Amino acid sequence: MGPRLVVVGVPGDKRMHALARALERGGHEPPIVVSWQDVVLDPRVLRRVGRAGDLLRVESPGADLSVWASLSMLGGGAALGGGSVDSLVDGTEWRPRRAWVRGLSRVLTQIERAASHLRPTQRASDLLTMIDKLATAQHLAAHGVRTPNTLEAPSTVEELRARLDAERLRAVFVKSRWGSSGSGVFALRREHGRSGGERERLVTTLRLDGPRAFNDKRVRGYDDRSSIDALLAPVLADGAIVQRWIPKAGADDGPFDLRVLVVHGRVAQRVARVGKSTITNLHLDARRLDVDAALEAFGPGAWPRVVSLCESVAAAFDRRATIGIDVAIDPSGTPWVIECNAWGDYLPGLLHEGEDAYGVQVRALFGARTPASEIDERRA
Amino acid sequence: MADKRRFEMIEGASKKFWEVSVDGAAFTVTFGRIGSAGSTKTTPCASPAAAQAEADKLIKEKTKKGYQEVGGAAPGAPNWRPPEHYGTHQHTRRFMNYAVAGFDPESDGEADDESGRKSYPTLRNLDRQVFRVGLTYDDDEDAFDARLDALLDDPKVGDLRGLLIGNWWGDAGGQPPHNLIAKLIERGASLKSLVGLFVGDVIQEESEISWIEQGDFGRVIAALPSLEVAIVRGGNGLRLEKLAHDTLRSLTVQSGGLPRAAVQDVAKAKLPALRDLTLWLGVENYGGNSEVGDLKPILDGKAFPALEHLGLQNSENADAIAAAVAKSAILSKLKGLDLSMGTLSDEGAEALLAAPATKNLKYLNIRHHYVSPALVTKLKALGIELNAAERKEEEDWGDGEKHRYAEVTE
Repeated sequence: MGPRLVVVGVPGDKRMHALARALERGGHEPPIVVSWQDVVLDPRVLRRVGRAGDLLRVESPGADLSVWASLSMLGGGAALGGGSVDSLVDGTEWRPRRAWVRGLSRVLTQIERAASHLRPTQRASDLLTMIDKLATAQHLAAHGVRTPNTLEAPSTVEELRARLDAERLRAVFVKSRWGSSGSGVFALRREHGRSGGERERLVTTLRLDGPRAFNDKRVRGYDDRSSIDALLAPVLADGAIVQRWIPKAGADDGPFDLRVLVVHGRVAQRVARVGKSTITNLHLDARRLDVDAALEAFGPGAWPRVVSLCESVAAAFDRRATIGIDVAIDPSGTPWVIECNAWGDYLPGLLHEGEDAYGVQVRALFGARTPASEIDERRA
Repeated sequence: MADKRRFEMIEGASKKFWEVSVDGAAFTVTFGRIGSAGSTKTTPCASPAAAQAEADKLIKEKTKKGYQEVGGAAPGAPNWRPPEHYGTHQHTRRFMNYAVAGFDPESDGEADDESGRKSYPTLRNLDRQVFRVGLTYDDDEDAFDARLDALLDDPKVGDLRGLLIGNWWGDAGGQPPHNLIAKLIERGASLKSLVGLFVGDVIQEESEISWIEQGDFGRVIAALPSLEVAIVRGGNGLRLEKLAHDTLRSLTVQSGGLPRAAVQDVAKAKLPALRDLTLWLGVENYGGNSEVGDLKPILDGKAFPALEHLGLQNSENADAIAAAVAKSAILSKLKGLDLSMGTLSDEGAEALLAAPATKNLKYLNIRHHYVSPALVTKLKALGIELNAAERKEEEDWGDGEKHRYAEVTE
């Protein structure tokens, strides 16, 4: 009997369905699902789950807002992470993340300890690096991967402006340091106008409602100081990064980037996302585009350059890792790694060699065993 | 039987054709080497409209690659096409059907090492390519003048047919192109083959269109003896004073807000050969403070006797503009009318439908509009080529007003 897959996840979540279907298609046993809620309560539940040699996959806890609250509390924050009760009901209010990521970090370490009889499909340290955009940028830079210059953002808007002036940065992305999904992302441009006066423009999905900020499906632009300050302030206070804005090449109707999924060191899925604005996340009105069509203008060498860039990312992490890499192509055709997403594999309907992202991972997991020596190292 | 359109591309030894026809809810393409019968493929679609949309998309892709339409569409009719749309998300790769190459005296003459784009240190292959000068995000801002000077000093500059100007300001934001303007006026006579000029081939990822600081291009255009096509992007500070030219046939001004003075300059211009005029009027918030009345000399048909295509685009006053065009003398002389990218709604569409001359157009573009499906159907029934893609819904921002917006207003 082969190994089974133990999954820490949110039961009923779309990701869990996709994974279960992929296992079924591959002729494997259904996953043993341990709910994030139970794991957050006591990670030791994992001690009794599965047999020695079974695989362990830790899925995104993001779909369960009560898990968010628990992780936040574990990390020393308020249950709601400083957000309001409503924010846990409709999920669209922007929530601070510092305490959440501290809680998550603690639980991931505990999971690794509690599940030492299982073979992890990814390293907790890799997950934590990818969840932290500052750590990711430093990690990639240290491994020689082309990624835009990234700094830790100051905690106030005033200090941010001073820093941008000092660094002569005219166009940057300001992003919440932790988490993903396009929430808490700002594209900020500043320069001196003809008359010498300063002008600024902020593009974001956040929308203010009184003192609270909500995520919207629509990307909006702001050019008045009071809105810009009010939108940036809570994200900077919680913890953010400043990343140089490399201009993106475009399709007819908007700029695009690529989501490239790397599984076990190899490109497994790819799609271009054309945004209405520079923020191109698919749930924000962006459309999918065939990668070859997107790259056509840059000649036959364009895609191989993306592949080698993505392989250099994979080489910077554990070889078992699944990494959702966001790649921007600048107008001269040079690819840049913008983000790495630990849970960037939910790409419904996208097929590579007839398999979806989960199918590819299932095949990689059950086809290529983790050598026993690696397990021993980890236990040591 | 559906109308078949044929496109061809000849590049070196490669001679290819591509044909498309729409028949009901399917479209058929035939492609191959010119002279061969080619291969044929029919693709079923959800509806006739979907088939047409898919075919239109493919035509756009092919023409972008360099395919050119051959043969007439309707029998007897000259193969008139509206001027090309230069969008704000991609650098221009083909300009007047020439490939665009970069000019950089520092480059090694081959493809940039990291990209497939070609950049050359000297002008070359001028029978098939035009050149672009501009800064990228990691260039020093002083590099622009050096590149421009090197291009203007190139021994082959007299054979250059097209010149595109990208970003000239680099990290020094807010710089009008004073030096560029002075240089082009000074050296205009030596640019004796220059047919096309595009100033501001800058994408939205590089700059807000309303942040591009412009200058006065009236005398620049006048100084270029062979110019036929002029495009300027960016309305801030733009003027076209004393614009007069005997051969200019196509003028496009793209902006997020076109200042009234620039609109008045255009209306006063002396361009006897002008066939296409495109103005992105923009919104007041970004400096677009012209009024419909400022367009009067153009709409009267007296300003440009040869005008065949008029684009009054990207406007937040699209209904008022449509109403003025519908009543104008110019409408009956036009082949193409482009009111795309704006806030056109039923009011403007009704005005167009009420004007008898509308049905004599060959082409009407209202892409990015707020017109109801019922009226779009009526426009379609006029039997002219219509682009009514990207219907928008008015937005409710909870302030008791319905909001419509023009496309390129950031």
